[in-house]
Amino acid sequence: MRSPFQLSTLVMIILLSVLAFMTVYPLGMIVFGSFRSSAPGDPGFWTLAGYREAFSDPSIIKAMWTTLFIGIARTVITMITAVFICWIVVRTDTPFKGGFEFLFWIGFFLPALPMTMGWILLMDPDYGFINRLWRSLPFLQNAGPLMNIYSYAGIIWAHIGISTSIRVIMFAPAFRNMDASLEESARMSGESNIGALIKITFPLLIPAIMGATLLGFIRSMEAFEVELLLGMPAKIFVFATKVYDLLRWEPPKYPPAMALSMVFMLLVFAIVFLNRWIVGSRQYVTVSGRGFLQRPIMLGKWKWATFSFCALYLAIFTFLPMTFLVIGTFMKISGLFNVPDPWSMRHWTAVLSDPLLLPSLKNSFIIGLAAGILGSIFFSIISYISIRTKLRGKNVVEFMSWLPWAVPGILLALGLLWVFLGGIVPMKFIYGTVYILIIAQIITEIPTGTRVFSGTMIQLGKELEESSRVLGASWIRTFRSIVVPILAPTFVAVGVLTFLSALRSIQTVVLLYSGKSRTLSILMLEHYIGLSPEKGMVIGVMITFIVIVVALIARAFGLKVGMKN
Amino acid sequence: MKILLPILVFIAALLITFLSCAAPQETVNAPANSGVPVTTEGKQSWELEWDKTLKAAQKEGIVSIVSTAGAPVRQALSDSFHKKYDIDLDIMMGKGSEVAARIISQRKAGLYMVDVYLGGATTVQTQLKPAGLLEPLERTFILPEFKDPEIIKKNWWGGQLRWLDDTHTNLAIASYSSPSLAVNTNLVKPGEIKGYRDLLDPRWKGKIILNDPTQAGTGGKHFGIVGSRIMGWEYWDQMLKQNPVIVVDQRLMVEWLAQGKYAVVLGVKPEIVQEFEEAGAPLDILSPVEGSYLTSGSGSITYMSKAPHPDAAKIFINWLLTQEGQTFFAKALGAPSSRLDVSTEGMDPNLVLKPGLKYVVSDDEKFSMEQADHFERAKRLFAPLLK
Repeated sequence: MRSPFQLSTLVMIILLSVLAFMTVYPLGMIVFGSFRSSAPGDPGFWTLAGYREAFSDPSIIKAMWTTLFIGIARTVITMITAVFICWIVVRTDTPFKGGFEFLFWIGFFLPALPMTMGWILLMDPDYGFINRLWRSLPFLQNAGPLMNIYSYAGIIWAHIGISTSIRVIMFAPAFRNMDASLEESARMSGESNIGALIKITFPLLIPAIMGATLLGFIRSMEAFEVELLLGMPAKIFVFATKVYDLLRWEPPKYPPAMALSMVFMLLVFAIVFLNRWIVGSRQYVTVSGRGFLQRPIMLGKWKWATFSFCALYLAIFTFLPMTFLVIGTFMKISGLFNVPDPWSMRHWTAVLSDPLLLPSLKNSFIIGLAAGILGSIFFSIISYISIRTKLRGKNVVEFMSWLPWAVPGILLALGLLWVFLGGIVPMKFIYGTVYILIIAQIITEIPTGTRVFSGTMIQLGKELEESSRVLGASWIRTFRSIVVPILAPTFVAVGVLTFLSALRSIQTVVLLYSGKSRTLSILMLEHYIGLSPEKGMVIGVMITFIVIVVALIARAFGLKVGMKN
Repeated sequence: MKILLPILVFIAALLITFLSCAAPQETVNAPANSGVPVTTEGKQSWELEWDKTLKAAQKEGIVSIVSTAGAPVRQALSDSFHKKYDIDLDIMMGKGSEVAARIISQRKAGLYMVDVYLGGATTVQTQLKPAGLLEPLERTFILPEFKDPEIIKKNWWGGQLRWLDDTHTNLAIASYSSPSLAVNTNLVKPGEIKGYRDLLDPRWKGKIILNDPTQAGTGGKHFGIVGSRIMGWEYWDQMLKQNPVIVVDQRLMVEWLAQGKYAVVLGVKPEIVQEFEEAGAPLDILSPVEGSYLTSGSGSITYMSKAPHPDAAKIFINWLLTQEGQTFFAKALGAPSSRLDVSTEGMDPNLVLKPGLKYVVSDDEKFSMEQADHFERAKRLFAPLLK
C-alpha cells in the first residue's frame, strides 16, 4: 500500500517553508511598508502617501528610462563578450586559456568603488591620464577628451570589467558540460568554428546564458554607487539613486522608498516569466547517459588572435584598474601625483596594526566558508527540485528563488533586519552573531547560486537518473550518487562564488553585524566612512589577494573532481 | 494554472506576513542601576562613587558604542581607554541612517546592545531622541568638573556645556567653526575671495563645486545655514546663475579642487581639505567675512536608556569629557574640542573658534528640525542643475 505521506512531500513542505521565510517574508515587509505611513512595527495607518511622494518626483520617469538604457546596453555588451570569451577559454585550444579563466574570477571580485576611482584617474576629461596622453600628441593639444568617464559610455565602461567577469564565471560550467561531438558534427557538415558557435553552441546554452543574463540585467537596475559617482557631474540619474536618496534622509523615508522598489519587484516578476517563456519546454541536453566528449576546438593560427583578445581585455579591465588600486594604497592621497613626495606606507602600517584586522578576517572566513558550503547544497536542492522533478510546488520554489533580487539590496537588508528582530520566528538569540550573517548571505545569493546550478542541470539527460531509479535508488540517492559528481565543478564554482561574495559583502551585513561578528568588508566600509579611502583600498587589496588564493585552490580542486565521465 | 499557483501562494504568504507585522513588540526592562551608598573613609563622595562604579565597570568589561565618527576615532579611543582602565570599547561605525535603523530595530525587539552613541547630532535629534531611546547625559556625571559651574566656565567654550537639546540628552564635545569653503590657491589669488558674496562674481561662473544640498550631510547643512542664517535665501538664487556643479562625494570634490579642475568648493568637510593640504595639495580653507557657523560635526555624545553596561558607560563618558579623553578624541577627529584646554596643534586655524566672535549654531535641535524644509527648497531651486 502506498504511503500517504511520501518523503518527497515532506522535503517539499520543508523547502517551501524555509524559502518562504527567507524570501517572501522579508519582501512581504517591504510590500507591507509601502502601503503604511511608517516603517513596519511602528504605529501607523494604511495609506498611498508613499506612492504619491515617490512618483510625484518629475525626474523619476527619466531616471527609469536612463536605468533601462544603461542596463540593456551594459547587459547586451557584456553578454556577447562573455559568450565569446567563454567559448575561447573553455571550448578552444587557445594558449593559456586556463589562466585567462582564472583571471576573470579575479576581475569579478575587484572592489567596485576603488576601481571606479581608478577609472576617474585615467579618464577624467581634464586631468585623466589617458586624455592627457591624447592631448600630448601632435595637433591634438586643443582636442576634446578621447574618453570621458562622466558620461553614459563612461558609466557602462566602468561596469564592463566586473559584469563580464561574473558572466564568464556563470557561463563557464555550462560551456564545460557541453558535448564536443555536437560541434564536431557541425564542422564535419562544413560549418566554420564561428558558425558552429552561433548555430550550435549558443542555442544549446540559451538557458544558462539567459538565466545569468537576466540576473545581470536585474542587478544592473539596482546599481547606484558607480552611477552616483560618475553620473551626478553629468546629470545622469538612475532609478536606484532615487531609492538610495530616500533612505539617506534622517529619518529615512521608508514608505516612498519601498513604493519605488515595487517597480523592481514587478520587473523581476516580468523577467521570471520571460525567462520561463524563452526556455520553455525545449530540450537543452548536452550531457547524456552515453557520456560526453570533451575535446577542444583546434583554431590553428587563429588561436593567437583569440589569445591576444583575452590578454588585451584583461589588461584593460583587470590589470589596469588593479594596478592603480595597489599604487593608490602607497600614496598619501590616492591619485594625487602632482605634490612633492606623494608616497607613504602609513596606510598599510595603520591597517596591519589594527587589532580588529585579524578578528574581522576570521569572521569573514567563517561566514564565507559556511555560506559557501551550506549555500551550495541548498541552492543545488532548490535547482534540482525545480528542474529535475515533477513535484507539486516546484514552480513555486523556482519563483521564490528569484525574490531576493526583487528589491534593491539595501531594502532587502532592512527587510532581513525586521524579519530577524521582529518576525514570527524568533531569531533574536542569534542576532549579532556570525550565524545570522551566514543565513543572510545565503539568502542574498539564492538567485545567483540557483541560476548557475539550473543552467547546468538543464543540460543533464534524463536517462542518467532513470537508470539509477530503475536499479532501485531513491531520488536522494540518485541526487547524491549521480547528479552531484557530474555537477562537482558547478558545486565548486557556486561555493567559491558564495564564499567570495560573502568576503566582500557590505549591504547584506551592515545592519546585522555586531562588534563580535565584524567582517573584513565592514572594516573596509568603516575606513571609507572615516574619510580614509586609502586604508579601505588596502583592505580591498587584501580581499583581492584572498580571492586569488581561494580561486587557485578551488580551480585545482574543482577541475579534478568533476571531469569524470 | 502553472502561473496562477505561484501567484496565489505568494499572495497567501504576503497576507501571513502582513498579519505578523502589525503589532509592535513590547520592550523588556533592563536591569536597574543600584544606588550609591556614602561611607566615610577620608574620600569625598564622588571619589567613593567613582571607585564603586569603576569596580563594577571592570566587571562589565566592555562599553558598546555606535559611532559615525570614523575608524581613526575608534582606534584612538579603544587603545587609550583600554590602557587606562582595562575596559574594552566595542565601537561599531556606520552612516547615521543605518546606525539609527539598527538601534531602533534592536530596541523594538527588546535587545539592548548599545550604551553610547558618538557622532553627528542630526541622527540623534531626528531619530534616536524621537524614538525615546535616550537618557539625560548628566545622570552619568561623576567627576565634579562636570557639575561645578565655576570649573565648567573655565574649561568649556562659551563658559558652559554645549547642550544641543533642551532635555540635555545630546552634548557637543567637538565645537569648531565650519567655513565649508575651500579654494585652489593656484587658481585663486590671496584676497580674491573673501566671502560668499565674492563667489557671485562672473569670473567664478562654472568654477564652483557644491556638495549636494538636497540631502542630509555637510552640503545640506551648509545650504540651510547660509540661506536661513547668514546670507538669506536670495543668495542661493544668485548662486544658481553661477552654474555650480553638484557632487555627492566629498572626497571627489576635494580631489577635483586639488587637480585644478575647479577653483572653489562649497559645503566641504574641512578635515578632508586638511588631509589634502598636509599631502602638499595647493588648497586653502577660507573663513568667509560674512561669518561661519558653529558645528560639532561627528562630535556629539548621548547615553542610551537601558544601557547594557551602565557602569562601564559612565566611566567612559566621564573619561571622554576630561582633558585627557578630549585630547585623544580631538586629534583623531581632526577638529577642535569643546574644551578650551585641549590643544589645537596641527588643525587649520580657520576651524578654531575665536573668542568674542558670534557664531551661528548649526547643530542644535531647532536647526535639525528645519532641515527637511531646507532640503525641499534646495531640490526646487537646483532642479535645473539636477535634470
